[in-house]
Amino acid sequence: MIFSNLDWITKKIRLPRGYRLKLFLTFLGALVLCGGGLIVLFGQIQRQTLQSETFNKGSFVSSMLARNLETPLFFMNMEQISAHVEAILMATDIVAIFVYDKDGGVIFSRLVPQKGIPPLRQEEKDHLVQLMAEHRNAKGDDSTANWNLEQYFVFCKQIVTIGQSNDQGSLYFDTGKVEQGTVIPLGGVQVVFSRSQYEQGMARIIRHAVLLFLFFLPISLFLAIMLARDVVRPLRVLVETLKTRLGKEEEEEEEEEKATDELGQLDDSLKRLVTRLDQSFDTIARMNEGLEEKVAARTAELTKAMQELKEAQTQLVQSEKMGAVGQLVAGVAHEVNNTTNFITGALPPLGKRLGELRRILDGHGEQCCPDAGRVAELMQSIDLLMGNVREGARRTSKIVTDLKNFSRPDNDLARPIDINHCLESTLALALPEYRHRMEVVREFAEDLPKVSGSQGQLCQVFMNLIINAVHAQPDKGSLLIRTFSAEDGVHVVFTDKGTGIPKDIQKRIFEPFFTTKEVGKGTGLGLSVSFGIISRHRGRILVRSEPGQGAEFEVILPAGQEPIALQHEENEE
Amino acid sequence: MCSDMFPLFSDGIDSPVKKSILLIALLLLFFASPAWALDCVLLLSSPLKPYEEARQGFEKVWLTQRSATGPKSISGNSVTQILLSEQQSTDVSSLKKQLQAARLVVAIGDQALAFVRDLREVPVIYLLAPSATPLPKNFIGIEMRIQPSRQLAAINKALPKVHSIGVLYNPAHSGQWVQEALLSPVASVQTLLFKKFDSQTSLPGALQELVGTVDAYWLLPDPQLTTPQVLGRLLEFSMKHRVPIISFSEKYLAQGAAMAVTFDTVDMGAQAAELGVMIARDGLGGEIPLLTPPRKVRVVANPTVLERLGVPFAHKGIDATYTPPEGGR
Repeated sequence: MIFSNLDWITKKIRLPRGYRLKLFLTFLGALVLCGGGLIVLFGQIQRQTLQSETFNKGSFVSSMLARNLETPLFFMNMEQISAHVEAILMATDIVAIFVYDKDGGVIFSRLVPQKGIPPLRQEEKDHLVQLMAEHRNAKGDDSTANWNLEQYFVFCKQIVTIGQSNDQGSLYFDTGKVEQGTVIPLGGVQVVFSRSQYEQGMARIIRHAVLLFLFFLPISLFLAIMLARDVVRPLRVLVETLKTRLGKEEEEEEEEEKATDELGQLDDSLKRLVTRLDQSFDTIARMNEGLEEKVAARTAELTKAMQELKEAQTQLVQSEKMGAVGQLVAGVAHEVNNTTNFITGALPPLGKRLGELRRILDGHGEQCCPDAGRVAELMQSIDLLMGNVREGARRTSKIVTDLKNFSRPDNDLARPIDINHCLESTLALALPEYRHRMEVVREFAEDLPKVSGSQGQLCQVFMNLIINAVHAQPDKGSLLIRTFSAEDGVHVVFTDKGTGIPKDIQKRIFEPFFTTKEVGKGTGLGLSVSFGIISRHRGRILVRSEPGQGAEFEVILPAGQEPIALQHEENEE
Repeated sequence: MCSDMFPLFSDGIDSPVKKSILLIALLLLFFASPAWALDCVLLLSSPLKPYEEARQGFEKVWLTQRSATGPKSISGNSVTQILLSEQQSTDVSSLKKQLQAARLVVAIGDQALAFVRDLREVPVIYLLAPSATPLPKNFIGIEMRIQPSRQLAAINKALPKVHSIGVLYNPAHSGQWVQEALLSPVASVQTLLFKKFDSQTSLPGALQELVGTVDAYWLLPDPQLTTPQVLGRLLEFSMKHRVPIISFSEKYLAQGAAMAVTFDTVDMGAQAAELGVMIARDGLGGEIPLLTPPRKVRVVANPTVLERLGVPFAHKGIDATYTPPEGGR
């Protein structure tokens, strides 16, 4: 309960936590350390400065006093010595000043009692005399400080003078050089300072340092919070962005449970991102592996489809053309049929009239016609001519019928047809045509499905193709007829070994009245009629031929016994 | 004309002989010392300002003078300056050779005099050399001491209100000078109050005896009186009792002396040049004394000190005034 409340409070007032807390503590520690270090350094510098100032002050005072005491000491003028010492004492916190002669004896002393400082004891005075003697024996004229005394700083300075110069020129001229004369010791001065001022200064420095640290502490806290917040903010945005991209709230919750700070969450998110990237790369690699094969297969399919499309387009164009030709032919056939009807309609009564005429002539004998021979001859000629007219009329009717079949097929009802049987019947009818000229080879599929259509029309088509094969092989030849079933229907293939069909005319062989036969031997309607019949049966007729290598016609009919509605001539007269 | 002057080159001599003589003469000239060309060598101890002033004074006179006879009567005098402080120790022997070959050597300063002390054949004029001791007869010197009577006259001219002058002296060092001063006719105008001292420590007492009895204090050229402590004490005395200090050198004006009665270094150089001309003309051993006092007294006043001490001075008796350098010392 307590922990949950704490958690709630932490979330509400946005206290630093997780990585932010670590950063905050790090920054705070660094700032406090730096600040503390700087304050300590500052204090140390101040302490050294104070020490240096104290030392410099002592050195300066002792040097100045020594310089001032040169003349009085030279002439042993105690009044002036006292005056100089008193002048120094007025401006400083000196505890005592001792003036020594050249033999180390104290010739003048001045003790200044100060508040809180006990007066110098005799042993301390003896120690000071000893220090001065040591300093004199050191043969240096620089001030030295002795820090060994508990409550005092002591500065010693020798007092010397320069004897008369040996350089007579320097008596008259300023030679610019330090006059070289004999250094004559006159004595020494010893200045004793109290440590109290120094220690007060030190205490003040420490106090200032502590105050400075206390002032710096809240600033450090504030800076640490701000720094931690500013550093973590972009990290949080990054983590949130990654989470959004990676999705799945439940996963986030799981990850949040695992990683408590932003850096851990970022690490987890990045790991998941990397895993997903790896998976994506694997998928891409796998897809790449079969891509070329698939492209090749699709290309082949597309090529095939394109080929089929071209063929369909060709057939469509052919169909349209044949449709237009059919309409033309139908009109022409209609007019020819009407004209032929006059002939065929007139022939029976004409035959009847000629029969009556012949009977009359035969009944009257020579009385009716003296030249009976001639009459008989004429009658015979008339019969012959009548036969010719009848044959012409019959042929014309046949042509018209064929044209009508091409353009306007029979109105037969479609029914299931056994193609093999239809072929056998057609071959039997055409036997006189090819019996001694062509060998027919049958390769009929046994389980060939039936097709729906008009048996007469289909037999007519087969007859046309067989007769064409006979004509294509005038000497000796062979014809292979194959039937088989495929997905697209029942296939009937006629393969001959004739001269073949040139490429440039292959597209025209289904046009009406197009023929390569001699005049009078073909009407040019066989293949066009066949094309129309097969089209009405929703089938296709294809031709494949190479010059000199025979030709192959393939009829493809849709399999199935369902009746199909063949197109009929509506306006047939 | 050439043949008349040099008969060896007359046409009567055979040509090979003439060529040989000419060659020998050239060889002799080649091996001869080049110092024959040096007219006067001016040897300076160091580039101190008074030495430079003396050199300028010498050259100003020397270079305008012409000898009465000889080649110099046509070409005029020349001078070769040598600064002794810049000479390398390795050049000493060659320098001495040059000096021995010179017509005249002028030594300015103690160091220069010490360097030429062993010259015997060449006349030497020395000046600004306070350490000069008895020297050979070829040394002619200009001393730095001015007769007390001349000094007192200059003091009287510059400080007409000063009638009583106090002097501290060490008999061992300045006894003769004091005797000479006492005999000076100017002493009738000014009262000289001499106090002896034996050691520096007895100086304050001697000085104390002058308090209230003297108008000025005359500082003598005594090394014992110019130590910092003694000078300090004298200056303290001067300030305390309003007694101007009259020194023997301009050097002490900067330290607080009120006036300097001294020699003129430029004129001293000119004086040396005139001595040189005389030597060139008459040679040594004539009427030229071995030691000559400076002919001109130069009075330099420190008007600031004089005014602060309340001592009036006459401008006509002063040759120059001391101006402290900018920024002080």
